[in-house]
Amino acid sequence: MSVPLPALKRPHGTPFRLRKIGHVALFVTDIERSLHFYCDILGFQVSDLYQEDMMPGGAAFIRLNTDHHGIALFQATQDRDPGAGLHHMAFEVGSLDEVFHARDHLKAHNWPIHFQGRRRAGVQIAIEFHDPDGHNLEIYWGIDQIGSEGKARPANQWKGASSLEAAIADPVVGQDTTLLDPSLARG
Amino acid sequence: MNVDAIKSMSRPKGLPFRIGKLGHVGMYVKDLERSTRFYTQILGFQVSDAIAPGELPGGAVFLRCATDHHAIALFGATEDHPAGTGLHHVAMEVPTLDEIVRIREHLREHQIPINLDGRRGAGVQLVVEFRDPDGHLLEIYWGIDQIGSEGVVRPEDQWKPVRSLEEAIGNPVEGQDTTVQAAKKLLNPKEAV
Repeated sequence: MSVPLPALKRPHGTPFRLRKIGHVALFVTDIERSLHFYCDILGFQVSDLYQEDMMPGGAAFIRLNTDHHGIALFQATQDRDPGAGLHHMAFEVGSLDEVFHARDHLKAHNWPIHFQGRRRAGVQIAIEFHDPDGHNLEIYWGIDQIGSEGKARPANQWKGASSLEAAIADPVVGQDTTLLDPSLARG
Repeated sequence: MNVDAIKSMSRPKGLPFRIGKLGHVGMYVKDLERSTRFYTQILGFQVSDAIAPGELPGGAVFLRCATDHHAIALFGATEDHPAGTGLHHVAMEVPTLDEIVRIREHLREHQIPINLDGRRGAGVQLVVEFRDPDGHLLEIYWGIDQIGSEGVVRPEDQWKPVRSLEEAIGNPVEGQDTTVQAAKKLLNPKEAV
């Protein structure tokens, strides 16, 4: 470490602010075994499951508070050992506009974005990219909140989309995708 | 995967704690400086503390995005832990110190081995650390330092890292109220300093 690290400061004018770590997704050997651990021992609750037909090996989304998932468990595959640990990590921003700002900001820094739009379970609107070591990161807004009744949104409402513009043009039930600055969307 | 069995799993009644949020994630990285530049300059994180490789193998940098002392911790990769193995640990916050004491008891009752209980250095949170079935290192913590608008971080000479909850509770850092309420009976008085 040659640069005094505390000299690396947040640049003034960064056009978004990450508020919190929203969720972490892990590769695991046996989803059922892991669910017993996370639910029975740590008190998580299951929000959604992806079965084999939706994703090789399947996945489970579990919550620790009202956010649709705080942890996601992905089946390890031949390419991905369980010991590889991290599938991805996601940061929440406070507004939909900031997801667009973050997209523009990464583009301005020539940082490749490998997904944008709306994922399925959780229906958050997101961009995804890698850090310098290849850790997969997500910046998102608008993840489903699960109330005391414990009901997750039915899968037939999910509306996966592969661009931010497509995601906001076709909102899921209950999601207000109005941009405060409409010029952020590209035609 | 047995979907019906999974869907029927639910939070057991009477669990003696509730995890409130994901607090931070630690990752192994190849080049601390390169990664710190990325997380500060591109993503807008701020550096709370940096530990030189002389003090900790590989070194570490603690970064915040809000008031918690760190949301991301970067650990320099070593031969044992190369970069790209990704995850160092995931930490979850509970709202009260009593819950930390209770979760240690709870894990002991379920015979889940505990790697560490006590107080960490940077951030000074009280922790219980253990592994999930695949060996992912998990931390449950209470009382991480909050960094205000002035950006002043607690000086290192106040950290008091210790390897038992009893010792951490008996010898609080400045500004940390380590009064345990009803869970006091679960503490071992012999281990307190």
